[in-house]
Amino acid sequence: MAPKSVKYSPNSIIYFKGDSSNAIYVLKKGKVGLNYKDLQTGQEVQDLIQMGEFFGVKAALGHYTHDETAVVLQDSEVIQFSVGEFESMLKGNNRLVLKMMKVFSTQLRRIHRQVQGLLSSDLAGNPELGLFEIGQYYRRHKDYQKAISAFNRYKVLYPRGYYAAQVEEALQSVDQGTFYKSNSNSEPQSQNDQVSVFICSKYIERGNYQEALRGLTSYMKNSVNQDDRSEAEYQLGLCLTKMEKPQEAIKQFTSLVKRFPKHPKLGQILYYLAFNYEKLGDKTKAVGFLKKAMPLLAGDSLSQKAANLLSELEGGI
Amino acid sequence: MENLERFAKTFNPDEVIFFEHEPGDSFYLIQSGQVKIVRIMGDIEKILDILNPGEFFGEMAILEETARSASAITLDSCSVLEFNRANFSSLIQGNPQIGINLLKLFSRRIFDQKRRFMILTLDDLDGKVADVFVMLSELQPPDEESGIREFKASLDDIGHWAGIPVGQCKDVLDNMVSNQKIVINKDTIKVNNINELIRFVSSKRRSQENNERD
Repeated sequence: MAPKSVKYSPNSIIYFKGDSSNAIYVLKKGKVGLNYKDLQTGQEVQDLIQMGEFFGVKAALGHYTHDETAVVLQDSEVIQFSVGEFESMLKGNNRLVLKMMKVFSTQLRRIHRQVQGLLSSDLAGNPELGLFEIGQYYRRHKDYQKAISAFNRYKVLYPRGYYAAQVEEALQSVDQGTFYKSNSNSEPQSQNDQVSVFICSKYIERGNYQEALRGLTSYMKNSVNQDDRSEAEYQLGLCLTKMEKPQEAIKQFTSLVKRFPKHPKLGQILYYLAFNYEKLGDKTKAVGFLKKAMPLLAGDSLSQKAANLLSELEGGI
Repeated sequence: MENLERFAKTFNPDEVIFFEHEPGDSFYLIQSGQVKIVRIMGDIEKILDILNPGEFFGEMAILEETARSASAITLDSCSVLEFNRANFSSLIQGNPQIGINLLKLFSRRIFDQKRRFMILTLDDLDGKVADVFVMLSELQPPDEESGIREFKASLDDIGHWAGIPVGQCKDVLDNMVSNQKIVINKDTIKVNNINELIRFVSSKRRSQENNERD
């Protein structure tokens, strides 16, 4: 069978909206309009078919019903192709394939955007959080290769992302062999629980103090390991210092020194005590703590800061 | 197919080709093996589709660099052809059948998106959920005999299609269960009379259009 030419008189209908379709049409002569309801406005609109233009293509190729009605406006002649005939014709005409592809992709892009615009933001999703959660999902379900793969892709895509510290820690734990042990219960964990001290320290570095505070408080409640706990308490004091809460920071650091007099970060703790006393205007105490801190800070990045603060304060006393 | 070997890539079984939420600039045509398309919903990995040789995936990347809407994971050893917008024209030049297959795929996608748009623009929650069932029935072969339809769908699926949070979707479905409109089974949802839902959705749409006109 070859494509056939069909003549239509004015006001006749080539196909109705809702008709199933197995034919594709091209306008050879005359005037044909496509009547449909505009999705955005709900108004009935009519598009005129240009001479030589194909219509009814999507419904026939996609095996769907027509979503418009084709109305003949003047005496017209239309060439009708079966899907098979249309495909044979396309095979010999790459330019036509590419042209149709362009038309279809423009339509698809437009409707895709309209749909995305209607979805609420939580459903449309936050791709950064989404990818991180996929890694967490596979880790929880012990599908470690996929978890590692998701975290690696996160690292490439979001090197400074909100979850970069957690991802980094997870990937480091792969090297340390702990990745496969921790987080392995099948119960999903609350995101806010059991965030490690390392991650909290990253939160502090990034200025995300509230998240750090929440993570550290939760960690200290659950931690049984003394070393981890003492580090968490140090980070808590640091966090309060950065939050410019000198009284609370002093209370935290003082309590920490009493309970852990041999704390591995004693020099830093004494420096931050001095720093916070200076903020409160108590220069004498600040100088006293700085003098105790200085010998312990040798080689530490805080050493120069301590020396500067000391000379500033002693000059002013 | 001509000159396509330079686009070929192979993957091991259970290997991730791309993750949901990753930005995408490539699309794929399966040459051998099977690929599953999955999405994490809640705490479940939900299989949306299993694709066979000759089928495409990730094709939205031809249009724009959007985040992937699902993950693609191999089920067995797979060989795929990987394309992007830059080399797409040269692919079609040498292989018009691939272009024709993509036209068919795009036709279906346009229809799907238009249908989804219609669901999302209904104001009424009951109407949206009912229209999801109507849409699912349109995708099944017509069955004139009975109004009963059974769909392999979950609460998450219905909520996703209706564009509403799962909690709200559950309320609507619970209400439909108590009114004996549907029966929720372990893996399926049975609609007792699809024609009733079609009429319900039509009346919702009509009254919405009338209100908008007033």
